Amino acid sequence: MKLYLDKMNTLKNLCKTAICLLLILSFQTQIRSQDNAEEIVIKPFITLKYYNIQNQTQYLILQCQLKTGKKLEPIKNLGASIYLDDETDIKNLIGKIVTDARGKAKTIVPISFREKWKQSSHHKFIAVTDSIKGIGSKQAESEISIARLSLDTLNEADTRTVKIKLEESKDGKWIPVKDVEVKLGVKRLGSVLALGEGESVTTDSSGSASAEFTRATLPGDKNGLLTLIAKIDDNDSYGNLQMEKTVLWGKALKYENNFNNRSLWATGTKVPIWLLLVAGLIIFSVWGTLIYLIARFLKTRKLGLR
Amino acid sequence: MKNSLSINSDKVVQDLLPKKFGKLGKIWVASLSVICLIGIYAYYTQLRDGLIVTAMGDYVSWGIYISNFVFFVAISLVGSLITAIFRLANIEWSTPITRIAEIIAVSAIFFASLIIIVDMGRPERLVNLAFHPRLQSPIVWDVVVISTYFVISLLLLYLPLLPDIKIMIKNANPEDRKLNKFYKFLGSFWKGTTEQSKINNHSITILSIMIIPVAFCIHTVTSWLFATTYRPGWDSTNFGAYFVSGAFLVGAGGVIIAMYVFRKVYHLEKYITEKHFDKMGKAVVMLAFLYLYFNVNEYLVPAFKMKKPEAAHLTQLFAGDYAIMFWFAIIVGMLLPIAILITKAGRRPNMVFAAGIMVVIGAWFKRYLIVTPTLLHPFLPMSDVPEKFKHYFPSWQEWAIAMGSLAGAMLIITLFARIFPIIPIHETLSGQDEHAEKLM
Repeated sequence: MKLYLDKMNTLKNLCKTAICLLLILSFQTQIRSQDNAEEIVIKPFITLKYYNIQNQTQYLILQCQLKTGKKLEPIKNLGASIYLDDETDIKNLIGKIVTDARGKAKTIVPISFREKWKQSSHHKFIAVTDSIKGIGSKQAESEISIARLSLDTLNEADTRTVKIKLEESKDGKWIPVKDVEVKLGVKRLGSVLALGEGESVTTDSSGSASAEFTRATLPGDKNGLLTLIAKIDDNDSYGNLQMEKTVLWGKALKYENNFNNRSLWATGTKVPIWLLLVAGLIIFSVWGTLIYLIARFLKTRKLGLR
Repeated sequence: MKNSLSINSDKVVQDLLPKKFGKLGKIWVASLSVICLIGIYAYYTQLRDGLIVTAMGDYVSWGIYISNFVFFVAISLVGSLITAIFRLANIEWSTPITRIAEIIAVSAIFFASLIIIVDMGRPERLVNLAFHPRLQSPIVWDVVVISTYFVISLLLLYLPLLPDIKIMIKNANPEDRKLNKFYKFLGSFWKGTTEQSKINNHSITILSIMIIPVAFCIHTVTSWLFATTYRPGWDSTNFGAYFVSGAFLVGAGGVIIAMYVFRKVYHLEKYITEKHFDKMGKAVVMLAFLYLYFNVNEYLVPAFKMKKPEAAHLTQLFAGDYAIMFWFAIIVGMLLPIAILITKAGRRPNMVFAAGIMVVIGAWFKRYLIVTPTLLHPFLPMSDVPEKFKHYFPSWQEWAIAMGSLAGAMLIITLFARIFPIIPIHETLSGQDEHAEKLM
């Protein structure tokens, strides 16, 4: 009887465990199906950014991406129209662009918009995309205040200083802008080498900021020319501004071409002397011995034929 | 040579003189010739259409041809092992197998040279190596060392043959006019005078000494063709020793197969005795252990670290597409021969022969594994390569040429045994005399 009760208890426990497992499994399946439902959400990301280089060249970059579930992918070959201030008037059309494989497209603000540009201190760029499959047309905007960035250098005694000034246009006048972060450095291959201790400097109430140039031994080009650069990245009010200036502050780079020297990686005629000697010695020793042995063989032959 | 002590000189000469092929021999030669002819035709199509007929591409630029080249270079090393090392160490029992070892070395190194030319898309450009050599390149070192080894092996085959040629001229069959003419051309000057013998023996000793470093160089330099290249599986400082130990093993396996076949076909049981199989079996065990040690070193150390670029290559070998071949090469090429030959019972001729076959087949696949999988996993993969670049299986032309070259090497050995005594007659007789003198 006791054995029977034990067995029954074991059976009950097994049933309880099985029910618990089933509940956990069904709960997990529910969560997973919810996840699956979330995964199919498709959302486009359209951004429009304004760039001003050397206070002269103005251009806009449109980036179109599509988020499918957790995956963010560029939208290729998507057409878009870029307008200045008002997209309802065709006269404001800056240009029509098509995104590339990275989902990006670029357009320059044409000179014909110069007068319209001067009429206001604030402008708005509007991008209207063509229809995206399953989503329709989308719009992106970028509002900016007209600003200018200047870069100057000061060479006093042993100290070299780089100064920048940021001003914005207000009622036809240039007003200094304070508390804006500006990246200040020397242009290198693919990156900017910061001048100060931090990556950027902050403008004061006069719109100015400066940093001392202490890298006297920094290699420049063959004449010692360096390119100083001041950059404002993704500023909410002014967009992206960039200013460059070339100075003779670097160390002249002497390019030493050792390609034609004697080395292991040079051409056959430029073999290193040590290798030539070692290889020559080995080859001469081995083949010299072989020639000696062949001569001995010929002597044996002669002895037999005598 | 206790067994041969009781045999008189005439009987030894009659036993060891080359014999005409029987029915089986003719079928064997015909089969090898057919395989060679197919290989020649395949090479003709390659010359006509270019290397496009092969399965090689931008990834696997060294395929079965180079695997075969490494195999031939490896097996050729046996000449130095048997002829030189055993001779210098005064190992008397090796006398009957020295010529077998030397002809294997000569034929293998000859086909190693040929297969390199086959691997070239434009073989006529080989002369550029002579006119515009680049001494910094291991390829030039390889060409120099292979040609040197070939000449030394040829001399080491020819010089000990001179006294035997005299015996053959003396015992010539008048009906074989062309063959007699050939013997006279090669050795009619040999009178066997004291001075001639002295010079000849001296030359053989010098060659025996010289061939050892050259043999080590030939396989070390071949290993450097790989090790000086920055690739997974090849980027090793250990490759020279790894290759040399493997070469000794496959060479010993090759000699075992040849000595078993010649013993059986030419009824040489009195000369190639069970003692020879026992000794060679022991040598194979030692060499297999040595090669196994280098294999453990070569694979275990990188596998322990599993550096990312090496991981794909090692995974392919241990558990991927090449796993069957890899474990076959390790188990059949090394472990099983050790297991068979480590006991005295396993060192009977039939068992030793079976182990020799295992060693040679395992070694061929091992060379394929050294060359191909590495090329499929470059450190810096190309972007957007066609899918076919990521796989390699030799085309029929490559198989035909590779098999043709193997058949060609065996054909040279077979024809040599038809023309010349495969066991040195003069040395056997001298050994018999010396043994008799010692007993007296």
